[in-house]
Amino acid sequence: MAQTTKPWADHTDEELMARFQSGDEEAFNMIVSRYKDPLMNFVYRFLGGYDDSVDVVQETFIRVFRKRALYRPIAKFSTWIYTIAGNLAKTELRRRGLRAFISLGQSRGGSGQYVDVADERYSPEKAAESALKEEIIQKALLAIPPRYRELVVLRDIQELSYEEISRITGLALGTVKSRINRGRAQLQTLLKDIYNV
Amino acid sequence: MTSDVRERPTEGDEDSRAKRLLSRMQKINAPADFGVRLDRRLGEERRRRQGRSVRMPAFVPFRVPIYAASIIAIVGMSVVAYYALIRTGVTPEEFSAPKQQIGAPTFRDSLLMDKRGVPADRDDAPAELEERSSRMHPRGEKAPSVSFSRERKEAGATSELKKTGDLELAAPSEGLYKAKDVQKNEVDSTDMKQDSIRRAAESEQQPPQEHE
Repeated sequence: MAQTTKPWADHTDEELMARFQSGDEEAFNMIVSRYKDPLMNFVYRFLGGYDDSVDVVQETFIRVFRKRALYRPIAKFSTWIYTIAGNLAKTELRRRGLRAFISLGQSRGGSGQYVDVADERYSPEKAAESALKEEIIQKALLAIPPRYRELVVLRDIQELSYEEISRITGLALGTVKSRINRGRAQLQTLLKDIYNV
Repeated sequence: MTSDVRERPTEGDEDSRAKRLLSRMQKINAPADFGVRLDRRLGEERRRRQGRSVRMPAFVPFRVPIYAASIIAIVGMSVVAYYALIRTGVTPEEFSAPKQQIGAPTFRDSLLMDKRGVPADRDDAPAELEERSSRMHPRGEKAPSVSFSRERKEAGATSELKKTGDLELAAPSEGLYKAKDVQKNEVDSTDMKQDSIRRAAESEQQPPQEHE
């Protein structure tokens, strides 16, 4: 007997959401499997701290589950879910009163800024070097102000379009672009030394 | 071609380098048990949603939202309270007014009592105390009425039995001292107490008057 229904993978996010709104919880599971990794990447890069990021992403899906009736297909589903995740991540950031706990911005004998990484973490092996580099970039990301960080992560890590970022954050397109440029400029100052690593 | 001398990158180059570094970062994935944990939390969410409604089997055969049940309960209690007050005839002023302590002796009472706690201005009080009361208040002025509880009546009966004994001034009880504090603004308590001691001493010296 031939199956007339489309396979889950062929459904758009909006179609899945419509099915979920009509009571099909399998569609919700599909949404979770599609978005858990991208959201995890976004929240982790924005917030730092793996466990906290997992909690925020889980809370994001719970909000989607709870507020499913509020979603209207006039907006892209990805915009909606990134908005929820971003707001929860910012709330978590405020709650923790998180400041960049890394010792960035200290001057070492003059103008240069550096990222303070413990020496014992350094390894000549390439994999370890790569991990170290990654850690330095992550720390540098966490050191820039959250209003720039969110946009830089959405643009350069999540690779969303400026228009979509504008819709997610509710900012004007020009503001989005200028903040991304400022964020990158701050990052490149912080990562000056890593270019030679 | 390699060169030991690095060219100083332009601002645009550094900007794109930062961008390239970010885009090459390792992707962070959700943990393997993400779905299980999410299912557990969603289960709690469903249970919480169900917990927001209550079943009232005695009245309604279906579930009622918790806020509706709360409103019904508040309205019911208000109606019961309203009719309870109407039926007992208690006005809101009376209901809310602080209750005066019944039978609480005032300082004036303490002056009119002997040590056995018998007030002197009651009809059924011993005659000698009535006489004392008449001395303490000017002629024509009515002695202040005081409450006379059953306990005091019994104390008066005891006093009657011991009529032949010496009349001594009783030390006011703790309650009486409290009453004294209440009337502090009206009477200088120390002077009054001394006055009562003096009167008691006079009554000791005077022979008992005979009543006609």
